[in-house]
Amino acid sequence: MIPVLQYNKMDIGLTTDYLTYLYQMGGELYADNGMRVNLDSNLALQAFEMMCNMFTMYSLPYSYDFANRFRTGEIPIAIAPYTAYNQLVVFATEIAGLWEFTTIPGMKQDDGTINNTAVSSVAGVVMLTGTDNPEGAWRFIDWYTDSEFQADYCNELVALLGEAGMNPTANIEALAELPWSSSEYKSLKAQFDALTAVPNYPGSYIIGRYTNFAFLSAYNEKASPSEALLSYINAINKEISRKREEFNLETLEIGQTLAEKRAEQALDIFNKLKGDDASKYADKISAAKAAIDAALAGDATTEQFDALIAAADELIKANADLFGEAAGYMKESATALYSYIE
Amino acid sequence: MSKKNVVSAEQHAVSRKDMTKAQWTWHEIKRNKVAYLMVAPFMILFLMFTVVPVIMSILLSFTSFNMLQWPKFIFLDNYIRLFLDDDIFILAIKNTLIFAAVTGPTSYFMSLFVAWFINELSPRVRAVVTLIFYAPSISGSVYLIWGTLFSDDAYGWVNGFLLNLGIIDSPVLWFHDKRYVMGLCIIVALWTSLGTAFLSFIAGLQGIPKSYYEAAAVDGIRNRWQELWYVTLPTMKPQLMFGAVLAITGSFGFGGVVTALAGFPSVEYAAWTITHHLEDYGGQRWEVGYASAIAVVLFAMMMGANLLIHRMLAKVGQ
Repeated sequence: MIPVLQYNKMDIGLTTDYLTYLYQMGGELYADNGMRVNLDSNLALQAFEMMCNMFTMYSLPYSYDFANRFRTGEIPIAIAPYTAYNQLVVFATEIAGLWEFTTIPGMKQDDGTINNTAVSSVAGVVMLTGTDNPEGAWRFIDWYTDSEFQADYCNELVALLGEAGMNPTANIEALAELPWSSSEYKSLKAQFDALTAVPNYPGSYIIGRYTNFAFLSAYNEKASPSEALLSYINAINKEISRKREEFNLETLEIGQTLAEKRAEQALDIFNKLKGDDASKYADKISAAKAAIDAALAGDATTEQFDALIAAADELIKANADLFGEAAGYMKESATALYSYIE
Repeated sequence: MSKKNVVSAEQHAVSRKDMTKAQWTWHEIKRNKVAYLMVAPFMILFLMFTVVPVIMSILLSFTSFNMLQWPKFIFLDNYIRLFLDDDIFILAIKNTLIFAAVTGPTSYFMSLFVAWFINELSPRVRAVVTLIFYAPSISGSVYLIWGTLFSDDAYGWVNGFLLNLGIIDSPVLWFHDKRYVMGLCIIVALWTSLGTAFLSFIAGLQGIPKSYYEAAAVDGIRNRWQELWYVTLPTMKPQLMFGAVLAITGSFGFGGVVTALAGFPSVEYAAWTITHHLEDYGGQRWEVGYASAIAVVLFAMMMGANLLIHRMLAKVGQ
């Protein structure tokens, strides 16, 4: 579509939110339960490259005033937030009825379906411990988030502000009661069904900063997107580890994955065994060590991961007290290795 | 005061045998208690809002404090990490020194020479020209107009102009491109820097009596430059000092303008100053102990720069 649009002197407004591209390709932002960021995996780099390439190859505008350009017709199609609807309805009354919205574009998956997941933000309500009136607070929270109140509130807004007052409520039942036309509601519901959110781990604020740097250096100076992003991975992981330490959560060294860490912990236990324990189970221990090395090697496949789990089971069968902890580490390492497969 | 004055004061001082120095000081304080009472309101506020926070900041810089839990003493860890493990801080120092070196002296000399040139004009014209130069520094957030001029949008003023002329073929992200953001911020800094110091120079220049120039002409001063160096500048030493202090503190504390124009953080930390680093660690990452350490370092740098300026200005006119 883009070449046709640009041939006719129009443009498209794409989002610079790399998370959309990443999650549509099936990737995730964090690895190892938030201990490190997943942006150095092949899938994440692919998603980021795709986003940067779309912007640089077609010279798409990075900063534009959507409402004005839409109304004059220069950007007839764009990915915009929900509130753009409210704005356009009042701002561009001369094109009322000539435009509509639908679900965002997606990526074609291997099985032919289109994954058009959008990444949403989540707001929460918090009740502090030590409050004087927990039941009252709970009743308030219950009432406030209930669909009856939300629907009433949204309809009041629409009654006061007209169509510009379509509140982006998170309550799906309340959303259904707003005065949408049936085609508009169908699009909304379809997007709600294709929604995902990023889990919030310590240090999350640092990621957007560096991905923005990487994107801008690719856009302005035509740098290689993967290289730009990879150069910031260590800085991001360092900050994540700093924040996790503050909360006394487990952290990883820079450049280490959880699988490697657990494997090292298991090997530490083996090396600490002395005397008859060591000699009695020597063959099992060396088999376990070999399985660990094979699983962590660069060309390992699920066979090696299964073999690792099998070796752990062997150790447990041999002597559960002695090897219980080490076997647990080996199994966690295998689970982590499975999670890295894209 | 020169050494001569101090020695003669000592020779005239009374040496008493019935009181120690401390008792004498207390005696003098009680004698002048009305004066102290009059200074008290300002001193109390100054202590509470300037001195005590500085001391607290120095104390906090030896702790690790996240505003939710009690601070934890970690002694010099913050400083070690600051100087040895923080690349971004080194970059911030470099950017701050560039800002300070370029905008400090440049704006100082600009103020001085513009004041010197427009000193010759008739009072009414002088008032108008002074307003033109002084207006940017009192106009609050008017520097944001630079953001509008150099907008990233293809319809921005500069982008639109260059696109129409065919000089560029796609809009340049002025404040989001690490090659241009520093230069632009320096220009904006110079534009807003003709401030109070400028006015004080104009007033100082007006206050030099004509008789000085006549006496200098009798003594053998031949041209305007000699006049400037031997008569004008020495007479204006208080204003020069005032202007220098303002220029130094302004250039080291220059941060709000950059945040408003180039975002927080600026692209690849290109216009990242020590003040930004401080706000980042204090306000975004909630590591208040580390931020206090940065503040102490900044304080030391500013004091050092001020002392240097004192020494240099003492030599003016010799």
